[in-house]
Amino acid sequence: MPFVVRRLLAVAPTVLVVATVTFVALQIVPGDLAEIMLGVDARPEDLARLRRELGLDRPLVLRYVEWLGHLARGDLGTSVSYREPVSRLIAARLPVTLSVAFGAMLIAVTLALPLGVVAARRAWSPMDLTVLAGSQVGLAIPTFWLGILLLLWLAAATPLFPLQGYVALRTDPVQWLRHLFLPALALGAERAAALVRMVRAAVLDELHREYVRTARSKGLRDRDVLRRHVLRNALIPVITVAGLQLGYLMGGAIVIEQVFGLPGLGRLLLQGIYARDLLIVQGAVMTIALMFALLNLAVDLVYAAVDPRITYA
Amino acid sequence: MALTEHRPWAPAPPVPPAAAVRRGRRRNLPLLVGGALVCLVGALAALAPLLAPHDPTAINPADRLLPPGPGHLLGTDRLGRDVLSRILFGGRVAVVVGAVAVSVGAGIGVTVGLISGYQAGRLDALLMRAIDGLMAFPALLLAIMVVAALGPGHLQAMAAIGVVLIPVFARLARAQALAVRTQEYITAARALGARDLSIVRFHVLPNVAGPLLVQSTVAFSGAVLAEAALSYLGLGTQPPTPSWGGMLQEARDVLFVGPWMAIWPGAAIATTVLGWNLLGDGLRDLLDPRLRRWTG
Amino acid sequence: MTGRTPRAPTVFRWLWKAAVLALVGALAAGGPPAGAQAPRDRFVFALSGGPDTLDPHGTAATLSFMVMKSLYDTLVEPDDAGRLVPALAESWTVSPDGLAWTFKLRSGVRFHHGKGLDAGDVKATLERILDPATRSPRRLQIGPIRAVEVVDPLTVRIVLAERYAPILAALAEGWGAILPADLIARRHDFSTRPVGTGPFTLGEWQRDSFIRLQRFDGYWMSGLPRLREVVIRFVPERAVKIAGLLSGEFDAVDAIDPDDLPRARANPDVRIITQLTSLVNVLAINNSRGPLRDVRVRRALWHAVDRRQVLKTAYGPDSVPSAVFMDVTSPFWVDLGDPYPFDPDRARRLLSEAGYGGGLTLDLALPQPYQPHIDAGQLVQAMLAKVGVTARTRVVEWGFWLSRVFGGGEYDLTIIGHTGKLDPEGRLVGWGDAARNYVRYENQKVADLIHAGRITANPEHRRRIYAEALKLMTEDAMMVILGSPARYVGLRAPVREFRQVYAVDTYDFRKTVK
Repeated sequence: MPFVVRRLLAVAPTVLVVATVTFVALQIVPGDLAEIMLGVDARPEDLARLRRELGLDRPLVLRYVEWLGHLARGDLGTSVSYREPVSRLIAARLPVTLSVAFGAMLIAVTLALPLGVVAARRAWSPMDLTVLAGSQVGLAIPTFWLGILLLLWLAAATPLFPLQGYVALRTDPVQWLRHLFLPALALGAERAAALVRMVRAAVLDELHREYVRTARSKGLRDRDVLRRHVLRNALIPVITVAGLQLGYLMGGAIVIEQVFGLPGLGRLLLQGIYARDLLIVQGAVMTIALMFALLNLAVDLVYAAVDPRITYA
Repeated sequence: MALTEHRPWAPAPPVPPAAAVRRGRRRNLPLLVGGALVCLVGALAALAPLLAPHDPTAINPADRLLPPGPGHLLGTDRLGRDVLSRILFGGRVAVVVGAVAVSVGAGIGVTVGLISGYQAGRLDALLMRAIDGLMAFPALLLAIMVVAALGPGHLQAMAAIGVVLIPVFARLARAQALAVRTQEYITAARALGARDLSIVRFHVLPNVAGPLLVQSTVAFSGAVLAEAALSYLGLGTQPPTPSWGGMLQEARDVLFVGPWMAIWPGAAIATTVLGWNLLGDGLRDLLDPRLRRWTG
Repeated sequence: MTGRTPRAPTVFRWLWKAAVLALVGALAAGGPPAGAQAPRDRFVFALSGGPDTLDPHGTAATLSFMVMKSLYDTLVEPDDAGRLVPALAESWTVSPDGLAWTFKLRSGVRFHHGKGLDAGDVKATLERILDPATRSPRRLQIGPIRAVEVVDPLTVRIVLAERYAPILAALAEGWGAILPADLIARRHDFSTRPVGTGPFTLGEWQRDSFIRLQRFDGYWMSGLPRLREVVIRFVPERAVKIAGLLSGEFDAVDAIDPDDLPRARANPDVRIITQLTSLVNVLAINNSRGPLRDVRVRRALWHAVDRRQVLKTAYGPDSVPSAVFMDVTSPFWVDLGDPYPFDPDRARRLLSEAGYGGGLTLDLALPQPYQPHIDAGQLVQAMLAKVGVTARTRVVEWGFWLSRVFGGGEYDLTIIGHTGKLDPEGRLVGWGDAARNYVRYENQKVADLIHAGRITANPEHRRRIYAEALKLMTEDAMMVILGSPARYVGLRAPVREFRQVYAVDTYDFRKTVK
């Protein structure tokens, strides 16, 4: 079977497994919808009635099958704490999380590419060692701590960035950028630290290939060799890996959204956890996991397409 | 390596051969610095009761939010507790969570991986499907979901991070087991009547030990980061037990009144993670047979 | 490396520079920060959280009612002293037997969609609350209503099944908001598209972010509201709230952290209003659990806790201690002094009398994400440790707290704030009957007194009845009452007529100007 088809088919069971893990894991959660809906003044008889109405007293398997059915139709249920369809809540927040993740990736690539190339060209120079050390430090700094420091030293100290909140792109693009920049920087810096090592290694590897020596001996200028051959070959895997980071960044956004008060999926998920609103937790987890799977799939496909050297036996 | 295997705390790609040659001529600096940092953090955590100038949970409302000074070197928090003492004791939490989570992850992961790789067949397919299921989630999301199910807490966080670590170890062990089981000497050992268990113990495990050690070191720093993140979200270690992530969370409300509460616990996390990452890199250079071929 | 190594490829340097330039340019073009002063008729208010719904009959959440106060009106409303004054109802009369309440409605009141208010709207609204299908959490609080009759277009009569003194107060609470009958009949979704008679209409609502309210030009109070637009931003981070207030990004913020007060007070552009809340914060004791069944142990806990210290440290220096389960601002509050003064020695003696001289281990559940309660819990834990009581703290999420601690009684001790109710009935219903209160407090006499209070109309008699009940509850030490915390609301200097309706814990922007 061709790789592409197999890879596409492999997504379906992954989604099913994700759905099952999510459903099962969250059945352990104590407390139910009825209790949360009725709040502090609930009386036992009202609780019992509401449970019956919501179908909470029916067997687990039945609810699982029903949940899967709804899921297939994109129906994630109606949130108790928000009293809105979960799918609508998620649709409103997905752009925020995606903005943060894409912004972070953009920053990561912008930082990592030039630094990695420079470091590779002057391998083991003080410049290179600084980049390497910086990458180690960057990997060690927790994103949310960097976020806090940025709040403290950039947002509070200068009028450039707001402390909190989000403005939609279509409302005001400039405000959107101002609200996103620091979260994306906090999240992207750590990925840049990871990427820069890959870029450096890939370029270094390429620089020591036979054709580079040949090209140089033919008198081609280094700059041209680098641009025409080395970068093209070295950066294909790097860029695909960078794409792959998007899925990871979706996960990282959960914490960063909390630091910067961004109304994204991560914040929704945590609200759901704090309020024990299971449908929200299930919906948000499913969405993030699904994005993760789809982004990974996309990267695998792109990678297979651009790099004929890779064979998936 | 399939691309989907990438994890935030998966090992960095091996240094390419050419670089390794150069590096081989140098001292293993990452190993030295990393080792030193890890020893330092370990010693500070172990000796916290002796070193801490104050009881980390002693509440003293009269000394609330004192900036760093001679009485409290790193200041006090909003209940008047000494930040330095809390960071020292928080180090114990970090080390314990890291150790337990890595043990859980490595223990289950390696067992699953060895069984899977050694038995192959249907069981292998089943186990790997389960591992794939775990890998279908971004790591932090999986940890958050496990904690959401079990409820917030120290033990729950360890369990959650352990679960997240299972796949990396399982894949590692499985790959090694697969590689070893087809080799001739194993076939020979089996022909001689050696039992599976002893084959695994005497032939497979020793081969896994090196990569496993490297992986554990890197996983450890991942676990420290994850615990900090969970505690920051209020899902990990619970007050009044001091933990670095929890301290950052407590600092959030008084960020501009007591910035020292936000700066030092984060620096402690970064130092610890840096130490373990460097140690992992150093160990990889030392142990990875592929690299040894070029550097030796 | 060879000596000929040139610099980084120009294309990347160029790209990088361009990106940086573009970014800086864009940010600079953004001009002054979001903190710039908003126009005079636009008011930005930072609230700790957002509403869960805008359907007044679908929630019990205080934050929701804080927003809905601007969208809907009630028949009567509390004034600044907590007295009930006319709103949509101009006047009302009660039949001698106390069972029939007749309300005369104000004429000329319009709903946002243009329909005029009449008696049919009141009938439809009350029936909507009473309909179990609405699932109003307040269905039972609205009272034993037997029927709602339309007498004439502007007169409505509520007939009760039994005497119920709190009926007027219930109608004044946020959940008594009057909705239009035609939309109720059409099963309109009020939760996201609110339609009421309130001073503002909904402009835009972004969950977890902000809600924008726009002036309703047809509002029945002439000349009001004065603002064109109210933007309520949901800002849980207290540090961000204070920073936004100081920078001018917000015109007003609710609940400033006491630790930020010095900074706020030092700023001449900011005013701080200190307001005692109608909350009663308590260290709740599960009266049905082992050693806690013994009143001596419960009294020992009271002696062991320095309540003043806990209040001031965790909830702010202006909090007021109280010894009864009633907010200090309520006319039904009674001053019992300090019946169980802070005295660790006495606490230890009581504990050994009860047979726990060797120590006692209790569980202390603290609700997340309420940092003040968590701080208070840690203070209490340290105080209890001094008298040999080991309190094991357990931080639980709000939903868990509601279901397992509050609902299931799975706790020994917990710390929580009870929100204020206009009528003491709202606070006291169920106390004295172990099956109906979460501390499992059983005292038939208290239960009888509370029932008597419910059916007594004379305010002075009611006051005496409730005072007796409150005193008995404190004598039984059914929980350690801490007191009422203060709330610090911050305003930019030019803001005037920013009204807090503390009796129902909400905000009123009708007259606000800046």
